[in-house]
Amino acid sequence: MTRYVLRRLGVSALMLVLVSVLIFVVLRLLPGDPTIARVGAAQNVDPAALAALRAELGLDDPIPVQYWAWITGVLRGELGRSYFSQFGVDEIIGQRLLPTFELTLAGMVLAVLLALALSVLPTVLRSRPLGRFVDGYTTLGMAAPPFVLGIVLVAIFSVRLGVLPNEGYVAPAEDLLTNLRALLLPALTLGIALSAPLIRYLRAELSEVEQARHVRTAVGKGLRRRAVVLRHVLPNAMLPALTSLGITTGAVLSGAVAVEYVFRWPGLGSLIVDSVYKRDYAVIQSTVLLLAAVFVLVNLLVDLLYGVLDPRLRVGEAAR
Amino acid sequence: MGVGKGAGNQAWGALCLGLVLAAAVAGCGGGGPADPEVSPTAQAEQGPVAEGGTLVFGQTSGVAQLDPNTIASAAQTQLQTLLWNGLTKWAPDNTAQPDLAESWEHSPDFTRWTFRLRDGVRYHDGKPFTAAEAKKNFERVLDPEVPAQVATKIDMVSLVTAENDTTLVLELDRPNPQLPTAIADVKMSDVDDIANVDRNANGTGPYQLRSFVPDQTVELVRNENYWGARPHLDEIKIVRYADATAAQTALRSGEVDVLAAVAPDSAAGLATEGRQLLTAEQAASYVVWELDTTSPPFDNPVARQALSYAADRESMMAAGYAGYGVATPANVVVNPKNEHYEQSLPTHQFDLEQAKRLFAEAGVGEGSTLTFWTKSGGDPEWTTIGEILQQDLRKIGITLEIQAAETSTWSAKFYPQGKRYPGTLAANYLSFTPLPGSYSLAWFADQGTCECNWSAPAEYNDAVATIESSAEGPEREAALTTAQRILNRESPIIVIGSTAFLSVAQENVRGAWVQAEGTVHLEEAGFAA
Repeated sequence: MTRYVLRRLGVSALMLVLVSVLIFVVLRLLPGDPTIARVGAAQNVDPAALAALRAELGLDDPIPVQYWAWITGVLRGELGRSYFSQFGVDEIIGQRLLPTFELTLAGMVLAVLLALALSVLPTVLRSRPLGRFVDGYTTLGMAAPPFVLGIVLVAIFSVRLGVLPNEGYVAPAEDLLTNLRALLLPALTLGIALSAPLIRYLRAELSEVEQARHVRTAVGKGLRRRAVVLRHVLPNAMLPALTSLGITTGAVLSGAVAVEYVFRWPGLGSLIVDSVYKRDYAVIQSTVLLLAAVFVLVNLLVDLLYGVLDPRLRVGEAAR
Repeated sequence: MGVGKGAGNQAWGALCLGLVLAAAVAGCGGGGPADPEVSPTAQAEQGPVAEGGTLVFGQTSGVAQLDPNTIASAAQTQLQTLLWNGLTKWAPDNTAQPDLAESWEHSPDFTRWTFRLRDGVRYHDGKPFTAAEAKKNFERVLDPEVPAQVATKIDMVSLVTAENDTTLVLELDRPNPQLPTAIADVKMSDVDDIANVDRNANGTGPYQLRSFVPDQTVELVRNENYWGARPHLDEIKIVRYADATAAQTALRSGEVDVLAAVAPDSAAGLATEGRQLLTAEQAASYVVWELDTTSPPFDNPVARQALSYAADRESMMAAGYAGYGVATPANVVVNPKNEHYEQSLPTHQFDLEQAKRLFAEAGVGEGSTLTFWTKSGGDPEWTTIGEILQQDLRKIGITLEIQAAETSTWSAKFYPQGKRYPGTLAANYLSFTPLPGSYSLAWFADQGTCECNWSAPAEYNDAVATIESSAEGPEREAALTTAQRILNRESPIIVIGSTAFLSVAQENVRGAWVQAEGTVHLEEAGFAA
């Protein structure tokens, strides 16, 4: 198990190094110039001012030198300063971390609740119409990109019915009720988008586990269907679903970018989009690296948890 | 695996999607446009204005930073008169009015200006504002290493002297009779604390900073110690929306009180239910195509003229700007409504045959291809206009390829001055102070920064120098005519029309007004009592 953990840690660290190089190089290959974006492509800026700004931001240095300065800074916990505002990158990320955390957590909780309800109910009730509805729901959830879903929800709940705001983030500490009201639509958007693949996965697993011998035995012993599904089928189907949820973290993060943008949710997603438009390399590279680190970490934890939950993995590892 | 089971029910998903989208579309539907009146000022004269309230100002571009003299985007200009003051300020008729300077006088040759500053003005943090503070701001703006766009307007200032706390003297190396308007956009910030401007925004303006989240929100509260008339509002929130749809939804639902830069084709539909449609009295913004006049084919003035004749300006402004703009067939950056607009200029009326003949003369024959370079994700009007040109050029055998890129990529193609972009029409939107301000004409001169890379003839440079240095009178009038005539003849860029951003205010908003370049002034705004 120790070797397994160490190997997974090594792979994770290597992935992060590769991601950091990739982000850095890709950003520098993008057309567009942060200094021009900073002065707003104005009609009358002295070239000396642009040159001074370029030197101040360190953009005159060769790319490997820029990379080394950044990555050693990251390792020291110094992420640099935005090319635009006077805020440090750590401060900017700090401003946006809580909203993203809140949204992704709410989205994932909703996704799991929706997935459990909509996968178990048709199985327990053996209802074909309900099954068809759930299949339609998953098709819709997987076909419609989160931002389209978001716009549709806004059109219905904000514009048509006027019951929920389409924006207006307020920090929970400031006004929890307003915060939760503003959270509902974006979290629902993310939750629906994330629940769809989970439901597909769970329904497939439930259907497979239902055919297992121990389940048939339980049915044969006369257990009620609800008890069979909840006690014998669901726990066994959950393990593969856990892996799926880990992989889904990636979708959560990328989905959150679009959802945050639609709902003007001041999180890391909208920060990345805005920073890309402005070519604020300092902010983009550290934020993307942070998200990559979260993704790698969650998957690492899922892998380790899987090892704990599934004794076969540990046995297999020990036998090597 | 049972995944395939659901796949057989895609029709269900499609049906649900269709139903939901239909509901959404129905929800978005509003009343039909009713051709609302356009006004530069939000019903200021109608009834008393209440004290208090929070005004939410919506825009689709974010404020990236707060330094008033190194602006990063047009979205930031909203703050220019809320947090800051200049020595002078703009009035709706584009004249300079006293602001922090109570009065001013000049030497007979306009090379020495003395500004008398108000006594007792303090920054938001209580620090006194004096002539020495003003001097620091001017010197900072004039520092070549500070990316201050406004520097070009005052680059003739050679010496700044604070004679005492309330007297500032500007000495110029060439005369400038329009100096009070030229300095209106130089804002007085606390230069000693400029490194904290995004946190403190220490200015002398009627509102002060409460919070700032870059690209998201700027929250302002009334400056209770403001030296001028007490502002009506308690708070102003500048809120950025992801896109036009989100912003318009917020306006319709009443979350936004004033929405800036509304797309022209949406304006009439939004200005219903008593909402007010605002735009500048005299616009000084122009829809243009910039050309590289140093690369074929547009290094030949005949090719540029051909393009100007191929532009169906009336149709383009009607389709792109829903009639909220004025075509400029004289191809100059002067609004036809401006008193200095040269009425006698030959017009480049839409004439495809003439365009074909001139294009052939310049070597752009049938089968040639040109590129229309525009933005994606914003300014869709530019693409509409490009498509009209594309269809017209096709009739004379020329292909126009329309290419769109996001803002940074778009600007990197032709900005700053000196880049080569052969065979390309770079769609752009330019804002200038209106004549008699000389900036729009000086932009093309040798010391200007037109991305068209045009080498202006000596006659043009002389005319601009005369406009900049002469007081009102026949000499300056003649120079204004000369400069416009040369632009008309040489067509270094193609000017499609003059327009201004449209803003929509709720029915109860009072006192907001729109400046020529499109900025909405909120410093005197309030709600109807």
